[in-house]
Amino acid sequence: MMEQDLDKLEEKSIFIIREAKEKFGNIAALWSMGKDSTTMLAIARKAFLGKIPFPVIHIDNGIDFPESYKFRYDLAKKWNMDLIVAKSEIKQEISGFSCCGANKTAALRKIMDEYKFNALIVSIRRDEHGIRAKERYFSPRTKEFKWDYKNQPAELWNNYTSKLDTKGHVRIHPILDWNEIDIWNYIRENDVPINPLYYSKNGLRYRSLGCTHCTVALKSNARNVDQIIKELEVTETEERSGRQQDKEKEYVMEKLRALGYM
Amino acid sequence: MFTMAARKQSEKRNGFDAIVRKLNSDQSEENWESFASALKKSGIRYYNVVFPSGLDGEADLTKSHITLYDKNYAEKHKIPVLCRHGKKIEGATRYLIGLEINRKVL
Repeated sequence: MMEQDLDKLEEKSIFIIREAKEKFGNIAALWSMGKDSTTMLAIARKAFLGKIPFPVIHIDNGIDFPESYKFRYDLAKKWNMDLIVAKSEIKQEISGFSCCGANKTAALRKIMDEYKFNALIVSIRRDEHGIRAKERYFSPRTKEFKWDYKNQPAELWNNYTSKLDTKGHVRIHPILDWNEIDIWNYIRENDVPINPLYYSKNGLRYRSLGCTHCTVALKSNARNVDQIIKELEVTETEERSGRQQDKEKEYVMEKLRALGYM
Repeated sequence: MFTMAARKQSEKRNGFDAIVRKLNSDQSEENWESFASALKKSGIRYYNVVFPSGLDGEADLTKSHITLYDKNYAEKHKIPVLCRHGKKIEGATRYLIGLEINRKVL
């Protein structure tokens, strides 16, 4: 896995977040208590002198790991977050994508309508999945949450979409070009607090975190950040191979994301 | 008449029962580590985290528990959700890593 220049990555992410705040005003950030969104919030604090000047939304389906809930309580308090917990309902029939896609998207739409946010910071990365590789730093969504992935704005020479042509919102992706190993290097260098579930126990650990129903542990003996980085330098396993929702066919996922699913 | 195998099974179960009882009375890291070591041979296959309705605050975590099931989805034990380090509390599902979530229950 190739490491990138962290200072340059951080600089660009800070620029994206500040630009989003300046251009859109009423923005919020999604937080799943995972390493990526927590890193994004750490970057946001750097961008705004130790503060997170926008609400942070956790879409709670009620079946996250207890460690994740505890991590949420502790870090929200420590970083003085304006935390909004959006409750999502679980339908009895669960499949990996239906749960995260439909249920969480419905909860998010409700919050977006209630607070009238016009931009949402989301911590996806291009290297996570083929569908996400198609995203832009500033990615417009329609009022129905639809994503026109075939007709996306060009982002050349640091020019980004900062106007909203529809009554929808814009997704902001400040860590889009980061790799998994960049995230862990940043966590190590900046002492970013991390959910303890990422560390190995009994020869297994969670490399990518979701809820209890869709997350499977992978073989690993990495018990701290240094060991995780060493492991990632040689791994041939995909990061999200332990996530049930990613088992869906790529084409199906693309179509569902275009319809507004997360 | 009991076979040797059945007696060994029974001893194993009683041993695990004792570990679970100890854990329920004291959620120390030491007891969780004993639990994690005994888990592989315990016959427990699935788990489910039971939160009270409205998980709104940290206090709700202390009211939650984990239900353990065997390979036939029979309910076997209830254990805490938290690990205690003095006054500090942490979630403890990492000690169950390797078990599968019971998808038959929400």
